[in-house]
Amino acid sequence: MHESVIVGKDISKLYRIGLRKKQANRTFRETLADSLMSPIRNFRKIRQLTRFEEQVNPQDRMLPGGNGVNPGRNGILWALKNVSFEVKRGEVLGIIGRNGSGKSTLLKILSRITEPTGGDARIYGSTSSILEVGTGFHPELTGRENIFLNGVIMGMKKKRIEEKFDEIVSFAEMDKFIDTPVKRYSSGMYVRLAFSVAAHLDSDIMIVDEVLAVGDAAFQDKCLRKMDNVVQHGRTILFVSHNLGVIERLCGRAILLHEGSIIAEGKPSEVIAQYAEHPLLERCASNSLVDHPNRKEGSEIILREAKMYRNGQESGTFRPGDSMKLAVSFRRDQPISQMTFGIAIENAAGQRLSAFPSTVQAPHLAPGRVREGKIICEIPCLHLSPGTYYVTFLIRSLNSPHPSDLDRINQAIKFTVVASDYFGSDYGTVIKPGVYFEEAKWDFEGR
Amino acid sequence: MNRSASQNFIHIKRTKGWQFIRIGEINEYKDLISLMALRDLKIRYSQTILGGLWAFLQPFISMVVFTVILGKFGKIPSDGVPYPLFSFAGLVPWTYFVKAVSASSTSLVGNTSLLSKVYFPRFIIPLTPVLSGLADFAIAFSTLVCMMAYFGVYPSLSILLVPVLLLLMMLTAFGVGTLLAALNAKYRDINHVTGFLVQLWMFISPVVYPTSMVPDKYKLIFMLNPLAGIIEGFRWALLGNIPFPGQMLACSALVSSMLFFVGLSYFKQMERYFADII
Repeated sequence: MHESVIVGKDISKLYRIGLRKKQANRTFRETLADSLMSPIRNFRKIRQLTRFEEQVNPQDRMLPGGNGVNPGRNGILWALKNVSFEVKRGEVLGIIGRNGSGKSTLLKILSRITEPTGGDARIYGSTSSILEVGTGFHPELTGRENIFLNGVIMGMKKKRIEEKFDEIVSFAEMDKFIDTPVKRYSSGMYVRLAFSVAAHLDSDIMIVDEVLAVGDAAFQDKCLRKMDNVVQHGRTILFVSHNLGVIERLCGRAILLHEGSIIAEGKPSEVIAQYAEHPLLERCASNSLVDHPNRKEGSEIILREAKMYRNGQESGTFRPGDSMKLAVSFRRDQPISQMTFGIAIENAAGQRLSAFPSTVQAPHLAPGRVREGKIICEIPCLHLSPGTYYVTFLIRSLNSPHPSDLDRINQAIKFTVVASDYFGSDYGTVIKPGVYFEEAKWDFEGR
Repeated sequence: MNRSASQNFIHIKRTKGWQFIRIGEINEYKDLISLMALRDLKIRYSQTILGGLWAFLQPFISMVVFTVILGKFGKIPSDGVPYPLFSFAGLVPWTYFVKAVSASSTSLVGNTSLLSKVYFPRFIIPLTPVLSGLADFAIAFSTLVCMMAYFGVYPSLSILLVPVLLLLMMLTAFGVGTLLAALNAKYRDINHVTGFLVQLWMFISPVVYPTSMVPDKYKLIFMLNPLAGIIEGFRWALLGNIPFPGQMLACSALVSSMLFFVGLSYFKQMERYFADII
C-alpha cells in the first residue's frame, strides 16, 4: 500500500528584488531634494516588499518579471513556477539543480517557513525540516541545554528528547563535553552535536537541505551510514544536495529543478545524467587566460584562451567515458622554436593526478618556429571518477639549454565529472572516493 | 490508492484574508514556549557577577535617584506613604513592562535564523520575553515586600489583586510588543522608536508621581494609558494608601484588551511575510 504523503500541485513563489538600487546623484540640489523625498520613496519601496503590482500569473512566462537572469523592470523573480510532484510513503526523493534553481525555496515552502504565491501542497504526516544544523543553538548554553532547545525547536517533544538523550550524545561523541557551554566547542564538535540532534528526529517525513556536508571525513561517513539507516526504516525523505554521489546512493527517485521548474524526473542516475548534459545548464566552457590570477610569476602572457569540448560540444561537465577535447590558443610576439605544450590534471585537493606533455606523446607537434596558433589535445575516453578537476597548462620551448616554462598557468580551468551508468549495468559508476577507473575484463573460472 | 479525504493533512497554500490564532497551537507548542523562556533566563545573566541581583538593583537604584531628585528636591507628594516606597512600588511593575516591550519589539529581528529555518507559530518569539521577564519581576517584587516590611506597611487582602494586575500587564506588554515586532520586521524605524517611546511613556504614567497630581481636566486622557490603572492598582493592592482605582482599572482593562487584539491581529496578518522580508 503506497499512499502519497506529499502532494504538491503548481507550487509557485514570487519574490520582489532589487529594491536597493542606488541612484547616481548628480547636482547638489538634486541630492538635497532626493534626501528630502527619501522617506516617502523609502516607504513606498518597503511597502512594495509584500505587494506585487499586477495580478501575477505563473502561467504567463512572458511576464516582464522573467527569471533570475533577467529580473525585468518590475524587479520580480519567480523562484518557483508551477512545480508539481508527489512523494510516496517510504520514498526517498532527491532534488538536484544548480544554485538558484529553487531547491531551497521549495523546501522552505514545504516546511511552512514561507508561503507559496500560487499552488498548494498537502502533507500527510508529521514533518521535520533540517534546513541547517544547529538552529537555535545558543553559545552561552551547555551542550545538554542546547540539545533540548534545538530538539524542541525542530519539533520533538521534551520527553522524547530525554529518552533519546544518551543516544544523541554518544552519536556525536560528546560524552565528556556535554555540560560545557557551546561557545567553548570547536567547530567540528558544534556540527557533530547539531547534526546528531537532527539525525534523531522521528517524524514521518524528513526534509533535508544539504546538511550532510558537515564535519570531517570520518564523521561524514558516519552521517551517511546513519542516513542509510533512516532510509531503511521506511521514513519518507525529501533530500536536496549538490553531492550527486550521495543522491545516487540514498535516493530512489530524483527530480531536477532549473530556474524554478522541474525539467527532469525519474531514476537518480538518469536525472543526474540529464543534469550534466542539459544545454541550458551548461555554462560556457571557454575561459580567457590573459588575466588569469594563477599565472606563474615571471611568465609571459602567451596562453590566451582555453576551451573544452565534450563529444564535440562546448561543455564544462563530463561523464566517465566521454571524449574530452581541449583547445588552447596562444600568441607570442617572438616566435617559439620547438614548442612543447604540457597539460596536467589535478583534483580539488591539489593532488596531481596526471600529466602529459606533448613532448612525450606528440614530439613534432609544432615544428620549427611558431608565433601563434591553437593547440588541440583530445582525450578519447575519460577514465576519471566523478568529481571536480583542474587543468594546468604550460608552454615551453625546447630550443634552449635549460628548457623552462615560457608561460604556465596552474589550475587554469575547471571541469566536473558527474556519475553516470557508463557500463550500462544499472549500478552506476564508482561512487566511493577513487581517482579513476579501469575498463577491466572479467572472467570466471569454476563451476 | 488509499488517500482518503478524511485523513488529516497539512494544507500549505497562499493564505488570503484575515488570519486567526489557532488556540490549539499553544498547547501543542508548550514545550517550545517553556524552553524558549528558560533559554532567555539562562542567557540573560550568564557570565555576570551579580546575576539575578541585577533584577533588584535596577529598579532599586532608579528608586534612589528618583527619591533624591523628585522626592526630596522636587517634593513630589506620595499619597501618604514614604516616597521611596511609593516610587519603588511603581518602578517594579514598570521595569517589567519596559523590559518586556523592548525585548519583544526586537525579538523578531534578533531571531532571523529561527524565522528562516524552522516552522513554529511565530507569536512565540515576542511572547518569550513577556514570560521570561516574570523571573526578574519576581526578584524585584520580593525586594518590594522586604521594603514594605522595613517601612512597616502591611497589605490587606487587597494583595490578591496582584496576580490579576500582573496578567493585565502581561497582556498589555504582549500586545504592544507583538505590534512593534511585526512593524519592526518591515520598517526598521521601530528599532529607533522603541527606546524613546518607552521613555515618554514613563512620564505619562504614574510611576514616580501619583495620579492625584494630575489636574482633573486631563484625568480622562490620563486614564487611557493602561499602565496608569495598572500601576495605581499595584499601589492600592500593596500599600493601601489610595481608594480603589476602579474607574482607572476598568479603563486599563479595556485599552489593554484592545492593544492585545490589535497587536496580535496585525502580527498574524504579517506573519506570512516574515521569512521573506526579515
